[in-house]
Amino acid sequence: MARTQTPKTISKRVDPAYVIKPRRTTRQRWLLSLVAMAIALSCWLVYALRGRQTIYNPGPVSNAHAFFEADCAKCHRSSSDGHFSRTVSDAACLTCHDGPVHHASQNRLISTDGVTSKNCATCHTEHRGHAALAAASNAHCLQCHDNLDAATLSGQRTGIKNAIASFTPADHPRFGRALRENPADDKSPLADHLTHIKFNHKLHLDPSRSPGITRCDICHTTSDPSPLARDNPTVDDKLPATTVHDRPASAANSTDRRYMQPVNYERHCASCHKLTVAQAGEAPNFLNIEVAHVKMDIVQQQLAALPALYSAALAKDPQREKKLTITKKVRNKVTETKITEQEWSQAQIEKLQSGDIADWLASPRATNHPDLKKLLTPTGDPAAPPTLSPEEQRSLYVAYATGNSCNKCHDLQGTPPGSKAPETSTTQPSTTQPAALPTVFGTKPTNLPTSPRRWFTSSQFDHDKHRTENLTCTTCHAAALTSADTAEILLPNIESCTTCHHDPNASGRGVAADCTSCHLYHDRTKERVTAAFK
Amino acid sequence: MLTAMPNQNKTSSGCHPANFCLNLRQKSVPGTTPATARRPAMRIDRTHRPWLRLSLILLIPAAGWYIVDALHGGAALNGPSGASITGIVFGSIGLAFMIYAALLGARKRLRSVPLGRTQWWMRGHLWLGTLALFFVWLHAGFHLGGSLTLWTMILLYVVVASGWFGALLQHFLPEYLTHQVPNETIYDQIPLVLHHLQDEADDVAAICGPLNSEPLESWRAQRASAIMDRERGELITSRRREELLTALKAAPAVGSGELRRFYVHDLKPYIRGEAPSDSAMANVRRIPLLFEQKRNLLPEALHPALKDLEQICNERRQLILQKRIHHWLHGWLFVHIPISMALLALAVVHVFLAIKYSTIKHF
Repeated sequence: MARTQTPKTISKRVDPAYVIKPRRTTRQRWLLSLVAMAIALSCWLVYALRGRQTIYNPGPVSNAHAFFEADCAKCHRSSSDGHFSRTVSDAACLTCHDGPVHHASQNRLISTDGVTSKNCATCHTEHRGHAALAAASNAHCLQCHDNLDAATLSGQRTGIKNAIASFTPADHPRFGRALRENPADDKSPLADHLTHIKFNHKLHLDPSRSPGITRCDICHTTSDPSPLARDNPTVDDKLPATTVHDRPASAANSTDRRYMQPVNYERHCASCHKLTVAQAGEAPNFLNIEVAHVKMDIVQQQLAALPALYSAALAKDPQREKKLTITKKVRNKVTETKITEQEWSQAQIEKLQSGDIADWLASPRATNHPDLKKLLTPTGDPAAPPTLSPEEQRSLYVAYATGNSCNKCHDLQGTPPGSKAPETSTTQPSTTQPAALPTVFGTKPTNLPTSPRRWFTSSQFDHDKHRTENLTCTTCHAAALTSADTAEILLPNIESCTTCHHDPNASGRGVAADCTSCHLYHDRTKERVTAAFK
Repeated sequence: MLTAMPNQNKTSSGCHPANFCLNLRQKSVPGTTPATARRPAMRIDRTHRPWLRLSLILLIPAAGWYIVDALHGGAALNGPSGASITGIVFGSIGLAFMIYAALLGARKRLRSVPLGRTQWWMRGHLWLGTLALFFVWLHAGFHLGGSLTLWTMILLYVVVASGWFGALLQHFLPEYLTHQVPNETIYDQIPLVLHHLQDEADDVAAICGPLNSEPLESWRAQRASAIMDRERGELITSRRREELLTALKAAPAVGSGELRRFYVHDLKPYIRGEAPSDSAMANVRRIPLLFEQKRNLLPEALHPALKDLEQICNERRQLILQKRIHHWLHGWLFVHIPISMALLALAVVHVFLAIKYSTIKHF
C-alpha cells in the first residue's frame, strides 16, 4: 500500500468556487481602509468645525506671534476686501511694528512716504522659526549691499562700500569714526555726540599714578552702577563692595547688560576728585567744604554763601549737642555746664583761628586767596559771619571755576559775572568760537548721556556676551592704555572682531558672524509708536 | 471549468500574480506545485532597472532644480516654500505619483480592461511611490510644517516604509516558501485540505481496526462507505481505493496495536490540530526519529501505512508553515493600504486648502 497522489486528486482537495467567493482578508483590508480614511477626515473636520485654524499652519509661528497663532486673520487679511489672503500685507505688520526704513537713500523696499519700509514679507518669513522671521541671513542684506549703487537713489550714495562680500578686514568697511569739534564739518551722526569733558585714560590706567583704580570696570560696567564704585562715599564706605548686598539701594542692576552705563561724577569721580573751595595742600583741611556738583549758577550762590556754609557746617557737627555740655571734674566732683550754641560756635571759630587758620593766614599761600583770607579773618561776632562784596564773590567764583575744580574736567564758557567783555576761560582753548556766549560763566554741557551710549547706531554690541576669562577690556580697547585725549574714540576696529569671528561662509576659528550679528536693518531711532499701542 | 480558474488568475498562495507573491504553478495543476515551475513574480531584480533609471532621470534634475532655486533662485532669500512655483511643481508631481500608486488597487479590480500588465503597474507602484516621498521632501523644503502637513508626512513615511518592508518580504520569503513547502496549496483552501488530510489519515489508520469499541462489522461498513465516497469525489484513485478496502477487510492487522496507540495518542491529535504545543509531533527534528523508532517496533506489513501517515504529517506541517509565511507576506498590507488611503485623504485636504487659501481669487 502506498499513498499515491495524482494532479486530479490534489486538485479535488480544493473548492474551485473559492475564486468567486469574496476573500475575508480583502474585505478586512477594505474595511480598514475606509476606517482609516474616515478617521483622517474626521480629525480634520473636528478641527475645521471647531474653528481651530492652527491645523492649517504651515509651521509653528514665532514666539512673538504665538499668542494670536490661532487667529490667522490677524495677519492674513486682504487689505482690499478683508478676506483671507495667503500673503501678509504690510498693513498687517505695521499695525504693531513701525518698520522704519533702513536708509532714506535706498530705492527699494521703501514706501512712498520715505519713512517706512515696504514689502515686509520679502525679508520676514513667518512659520519658519525665529531666524526666518528676523531675516537673519546675509542674503537679505546682500539684496542691496551686493551692489549698493543699484540700490541707492541717484546722487544720494554715501561713502559706504558698494559691495560688501564678507566679514573680513579686506571686504568689510572699517569701523572708523572720527569726532569733530564742529558738527558742521562732519556729516557723521556721531559728531553730535562729542563730549566736553577731559579725561586722561592713560593717566588713570597707570598703576604708578593711580594705584588701586586702574581697573576699567570701576567706571565702565554694564550694570548700574559698578559694584566697584562708591556712591557718595564716606570714610566708612567699603571699597569695593564685595557682594550685591554691600551696594547701595540705588545700585540696582540694569536689565539691559549690553552697553556700558554712563560715567557719573558722584559714583566714579567724587571719591578722588572732591570739589572743595581750596584744594588739598593749598588750604587747611577744615576749609575743604565741598561744593555741590550742580549747575554753575548754584555753585556761584554756594560760594557767595560760603561764610554761612561754614557756620552751617559747624552747626551740623554731629557732636554738637554733646559739645554744648562742658563737663568738669574737680577733686572727684563732676560738674556739667550748659553753654549756648552761639557760645560754642564762637569758641570753635576762635580755636580754629588761633590754630590752623592763623597759621594758614600767615602763610604765603594765603596771599593767593585774598577772598578766602578775608572770609576767614575773624569779625569778632560769630552771629554775623564775614560777608563778601560782589567783586570778591566774583573773584572767588572765577578762582574756583578756573582752578583745580571745575576746569579739571570741564571746558568752561561764558562771561564771568561782573565782566563787561565776553570772555572764555579754558585751559584747553577750543577751536570753536560760539557766536553768543551764555551769560553765566561756567562749564560747557558735557553731552554725556544719561543712558548707555551706543556709538554705532546701526549696529549693536553686547559687552555681557563677550565676558570670557582671557578677554580683558584692553584686549579690544588697547588704545585706552595710551590715550590722553578725550576726543579719541577708543573703540576697537574690525581686526578685534575677526580675531574670534569669521564670515559664515568661510571656515575659521571661533564664531560665525552674520550681518545681523551686529547690524540692525530698521533704524530704531526713527521708530514711531504704532496704532496698536496708541 | 472552474478547476481551471485558479490557474488563470491566482497562484496557489491565493493571490494575484502581480500582488507581490510567487507566480507559481503557471504550468501545473491547481493544488500542486512542481518546484521547477515556481518562479517569484516580484523579485527586485534586473527587470526593475528601467524603473530605477526612470526614477533617477526624474529625481536628479528635480534635485538640481531644487538646489539651484535654493541657492540662486526665488528660494535663496527666505528658503524653499511649498507655495512657490518650484514647490507647487514638486508637490504636484509627488501627488501624481501617489495617485498612480493608489491606482494599483483599481487596476487589479479591472482585470479585463487592457491597461497594461499588472506587473508593470506593480513596479511603477514601487518606484514612483518611493519617488513621491522625495518629491514631497522637495515640495516641503524638508520642513514638516504644521499639524496637517506633519501628519500627512508621518503617514507618507509609514506608507513608504511599510511598502518597502513588504517588498523585501516579497523578495526573500517566496524563495524560502518554495524550498520549505513543496506541497504548497491555495491559502484560502488550507483548512479544507487539512480536513481532507484528516480523512485520509483515518483511512490509512483503519488498518489498525476500530479505534474505539464499536462493532467490527458496522465499523468496516462505515469506513468502506467513507472510502467509496472519497473515491467518488476523485480525492483518491481507484487503485488506492482497492488498497484501502483490502486493508480494511484484514483489519485489525497483526501487531497493529502499537500503531493504533501511536495514531490515537500522537498522530491524530496532531493532524486535527489538537496536539499541545509541547507534543512530540510539534518538534520537527524529532518527527523522523519518532517514525523510525515506530518502524522498528512494527511488523513490516505495517510499514507502508506508517509511511503514509508520516507523509500526511509532513504535508500538514508544510501547510501550517505556508500559512505562517503567508501571514508575513500579506500581513503588512493591513498597514500599508489603510494608511495609504488615509494619506490620500489628507493629501486631498491639503491640496484643497492650499488652493482655497492661495492667492488665486474667486476659488
